[in-house]
Amino acid sequence: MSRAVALFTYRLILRIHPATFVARFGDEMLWIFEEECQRGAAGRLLFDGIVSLLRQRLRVQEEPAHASRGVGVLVSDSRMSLVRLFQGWVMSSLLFAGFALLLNRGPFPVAFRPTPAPTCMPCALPPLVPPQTSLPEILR
Amino acid sequence: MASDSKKSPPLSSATLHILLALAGGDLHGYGIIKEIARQSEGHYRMGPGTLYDNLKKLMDAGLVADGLQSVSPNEEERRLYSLTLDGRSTLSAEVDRLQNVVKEARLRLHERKPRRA
Repeated sequence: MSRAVALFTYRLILRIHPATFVARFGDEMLWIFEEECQRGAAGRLLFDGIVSLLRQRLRVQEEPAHASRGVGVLVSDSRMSLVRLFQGWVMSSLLFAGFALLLNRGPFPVAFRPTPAPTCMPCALPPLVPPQTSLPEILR
Repeated sequence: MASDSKKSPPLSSATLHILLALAGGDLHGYGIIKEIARQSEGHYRMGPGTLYDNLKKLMDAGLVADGLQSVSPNEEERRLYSLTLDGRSTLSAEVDRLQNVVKEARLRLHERKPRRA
């Protein structure tokens, strides 16, 4: 995965975080991500970002007073419901699946190969032919 | 101190590492990550999500404080995190608790010698 794609994805993850959290730590998180990306740790940090997103969303649900504003697409008011939690879970799962596809090592196979048709074993056998030889003389 | 360790629950691994990193001096976020990696000899490389999630909890609890400071004159201001007095006593209580755990574990291991096969 290219660095630009990783950075774009991480920005997206940050954007879905609660607004108060992003306002306080967003710039620093992005700075650390850029620094650590140079060490080839993009996949690990993206996963860490998704886990952080779920944690912060759960915390917003527990402490509704802290969720006064929501920048993301999921929260428009201070109340969180199970439906919104489910939406967050679905969105995170989709993001994770996207990363996994990009990294070529996810829950999906790398390439779909057509499986060869199974060989028909009975057809491969020689046909049953009645013996041509006549019975021995002694049996007649 | 013993009473403190009885009152407060055990710290999580991430929290303990952050407090331990800050015990040596004030650090910015990336400095904390690098210090934790150094202390754990590279075995534990904390991500920014985990770091700031825990830092937020620690600041809300009054164990860590933050402030904008310039690391050097040419660089822009960075937010530095420092251990408060409460944070230091919490870390001290956790270290005491861990010492008791280690002491108990050593005692048990010496009491019960492994059987010969």
